[in-house]
Amino acid sequence: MIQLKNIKKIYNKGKTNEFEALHDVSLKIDDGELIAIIGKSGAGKSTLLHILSCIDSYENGEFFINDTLIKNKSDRELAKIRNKKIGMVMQDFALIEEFTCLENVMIPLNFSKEVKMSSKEKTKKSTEALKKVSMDSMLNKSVNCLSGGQKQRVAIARAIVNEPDVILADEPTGALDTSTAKEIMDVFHELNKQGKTIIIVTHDKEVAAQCNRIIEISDGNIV
Amino acid sequence: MEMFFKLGYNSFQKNKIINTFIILEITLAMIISIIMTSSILSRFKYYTPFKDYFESKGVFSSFSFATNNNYPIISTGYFKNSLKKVESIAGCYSTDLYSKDFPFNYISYDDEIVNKFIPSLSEGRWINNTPEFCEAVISPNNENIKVGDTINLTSGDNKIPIKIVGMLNNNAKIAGISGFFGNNFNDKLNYNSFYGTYNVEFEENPLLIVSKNMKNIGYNVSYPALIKYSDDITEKEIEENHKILSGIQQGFLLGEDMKVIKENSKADLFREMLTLLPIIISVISLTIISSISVSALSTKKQLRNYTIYYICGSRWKNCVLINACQSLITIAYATLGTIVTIAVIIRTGLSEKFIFTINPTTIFFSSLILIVYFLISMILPVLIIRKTTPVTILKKN
Repeated sequence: MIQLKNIKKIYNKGKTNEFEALHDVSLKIDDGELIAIIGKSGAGKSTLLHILSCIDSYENGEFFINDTLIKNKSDRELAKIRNKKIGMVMQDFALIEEFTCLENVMIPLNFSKEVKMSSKEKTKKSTEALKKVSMDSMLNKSVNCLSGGQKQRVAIARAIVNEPDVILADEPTGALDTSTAKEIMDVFHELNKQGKTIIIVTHDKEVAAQCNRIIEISDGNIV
Repeated sequence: MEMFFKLGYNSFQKNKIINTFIILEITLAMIISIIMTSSILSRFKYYTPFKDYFESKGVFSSFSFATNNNYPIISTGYFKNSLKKVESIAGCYSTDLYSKDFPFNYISYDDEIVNKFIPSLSEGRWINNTPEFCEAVISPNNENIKVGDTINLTSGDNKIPIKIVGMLNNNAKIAGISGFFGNNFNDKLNYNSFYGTYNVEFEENPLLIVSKNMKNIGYNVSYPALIKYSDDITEKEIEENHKILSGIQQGFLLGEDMKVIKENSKADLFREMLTLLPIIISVISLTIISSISVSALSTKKQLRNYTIYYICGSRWKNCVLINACQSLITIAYATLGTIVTIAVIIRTGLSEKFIFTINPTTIFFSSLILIVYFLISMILPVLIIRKTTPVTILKKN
């Protein structure tokens, strides 16, 4: 379960261009939900997603993941949460272009510290993740040879390889055509069926309509 | 750490083209640094062996070209007995060796010179100062005398067979022949005045270099000698010594007080270094500037990848380690490239055509290039990575 209580995010604090991106945002997301966060550009969607994914900090309020308060955590602890509990999918796929599909999917496994995995085990696990998104036939293909839809599938495989509870997606269909976007949404549905909590930031109403719950943000407030 | 190396190596491999250029650049800088250091060292090559003489109280005694047959036999013992507080002597001697088959010129060295200065040899080895068998190094000659040959000479009534163990390079500088054999002292005596090149065309006869320790041969001081006094010698004693040296007989000249030799030498070396300074500054500047630009470009290129690592569970600080590992791999390849280039330069004989010496000093200075590159490639990414955050990079994309 994810819970936000009165989260406030201020950019450039104390400077002349200080800007409050989120005002006392409170939110509760249960396990296994498929949620869309919608809103106009600059509304604070991505800021919220960055806080949820533990890559950005917040000024006031409380943020819990499974009853763990995400505040004043060390770099190491936050890295562990990003590695184990959260999978991220980005609009621009956030793949390393020079790497193969397999190498990209293996990245989170390389940063897993608890279990010492052999190269063989990592390959096996990554292949399984790629299989779940029907990309196991392109294991050793460089990602720069793939189409947008294929790249997004690889990005999803990377997000799920460490079996996180939550998948956060920032405009995952933003760079894709309608039919490919539908395919990607199908993948998210499938993962949701398997019990994953999925939070999708989008401004595409069709994508939002496919989610179980829609949260709208406007000017840093949930409406 | 192993994982950072793996990721560093992976990034290194995936950016082969840019990394190849970086490796080539570092290799080139290292080779240039070896050439530069060799060139600097070559300036000191003739100063360093007798540095302790040039930098002590003493005198550079030289023999006049105007020899005559009546001058007395002067030995180092004679110097030591007649001069006050002589600590050591590096002297060159003539011998009474003679060959009825070939006319030779002869020069013999005492232990100090044999041990401290080896001239450039094209073949064979330098003479041993405790020979069981009489041995010599010969100049290039038209008589077809080669390394390994034995020539039969006489000294008085003694027959002396001498084995040729080495041959001088053309234009090799040798100790003790300045002011003689067609060489003249410069106006200002310095360390170079102790050396000269033996010109076989001019002298007509080949030169034989032998050790003064060979038995049954007569020697006398007739070429330059460096005389070192004890530290506690007084100015008065020095003056008295110089008077004795000047008055030994007409054949001897008091060369110069070592203080003057040292000053002239330092001035000469400084002049030489000044000519190299612009090149040294250029090489150092180029190395630093290119290391900074290459490192900055490489880090900027990698920032997006580091952000991906970050969202996948890496710490932002660890990206610096991945970068450092990549730099270490680049350095390892650059070192390998330099070793291969050095081997090629030596194998193809290019090292003989320009000043290129491999010794601990040249290796140390070329390693400094690697250290500079490594430090820059460590510091710069830290500065760049610290200045930005993954969120900023994600927003830019």
